[in-house]
Amino acid sequence: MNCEQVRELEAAFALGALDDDERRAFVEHVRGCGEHHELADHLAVAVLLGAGEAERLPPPALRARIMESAGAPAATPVWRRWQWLGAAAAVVVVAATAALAFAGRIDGDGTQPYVHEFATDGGLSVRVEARYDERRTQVTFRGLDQGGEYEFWAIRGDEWLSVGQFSANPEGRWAGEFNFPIEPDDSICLTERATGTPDSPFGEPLFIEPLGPA
Amino acid sequence: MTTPAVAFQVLGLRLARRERAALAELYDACSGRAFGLAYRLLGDGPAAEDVVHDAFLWIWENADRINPERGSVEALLLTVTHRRAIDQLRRRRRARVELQGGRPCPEPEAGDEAIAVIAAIDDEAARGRVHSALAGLNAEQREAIELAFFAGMTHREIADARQLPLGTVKSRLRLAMGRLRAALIAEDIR
Repeated sequence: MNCEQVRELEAAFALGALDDDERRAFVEHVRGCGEHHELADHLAVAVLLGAGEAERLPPPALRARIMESAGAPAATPVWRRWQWLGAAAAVVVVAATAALAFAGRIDGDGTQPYVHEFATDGGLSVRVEARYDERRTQVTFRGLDQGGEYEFWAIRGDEWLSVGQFSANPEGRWAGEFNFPIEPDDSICLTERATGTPDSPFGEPLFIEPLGPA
Repeated sequence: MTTPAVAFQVLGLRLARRERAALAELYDACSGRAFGLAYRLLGDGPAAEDVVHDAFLWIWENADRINPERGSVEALLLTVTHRRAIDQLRRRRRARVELQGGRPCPEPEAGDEAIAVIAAIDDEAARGRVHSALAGLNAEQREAIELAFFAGMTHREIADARQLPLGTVKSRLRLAMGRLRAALIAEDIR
């Protein structure tokens, strides 16, 4: 296909009216040719034609289906594969076993903690200070929603372990210590409980961050 | 203040960095529009759901190839949704032909062209202008656009269905799109 033929077919291409062979030949030409500037306008028109259609609410399960399909196996929350009543019960059990405590500052005792600080694109600033041998981790969050309710997770293999829940203060900050045996190979994750639905009560992860060596 | 266009650009960058939360945000912002478009073409909820699922997955799997400066991720999603829906429509037609004794055709490679070239317009007003211009086309041109874009017919199929020379259908599509494009550009320059 040459430039003239491509120009003649730009409108049909943008509308999706080429047959498969024409479409392949068209794309092949355009990929190697910088001469078809009007094509962008035609595509913009086609996008607007599509965008002008009435919105329609998709089935509620579609969101979870897409997120499930998009998840790498290691990052797929186990709780997505559970029945939700079972999941809620399991989370309660894990949380109870973890003996969650918000104990304020860690006292210095000579052992070297693993310290990791990072920021997310959503504006969260996170500082983690993990003392693996003592099974306690101090975490500071800034940039949370004021008074928002959150759940902090450790991801171990394909298991999601609830480390604890907390509420941000009016400044969108929370700091505290979890008495939970986080391990160097774990990833940590935060979810916002308020955005959850009956199908997914903990909402989508605000971040998933790997930890590091002791 | 962040404009929707900028917000979608940022979303594209976050998708390229493999942030699953960005995919969820894209879904929350655009799923109604994508599903509405797929449903309009297919007239079938489960099929539209599959198309929208595949379109979001395509965006996710190709996120590292998306250049947000060349077009918004919303525009790309709608383009892929439209292409997928058209492919679905054509598969149905082929299946009917096959049942009637015809030969099956190879599966198309949906979506690839959306990476090659994509334009972005994140503007409600522009959307309205294009639809006003569409309403202002003559009946033949409007029908050509409807059959191509919303019924998923190729220009050859339109020519066969309307018993017109292929060149006439190509001309109608070209003139119609030229008018829609002119309306868009004129407003952009103003």
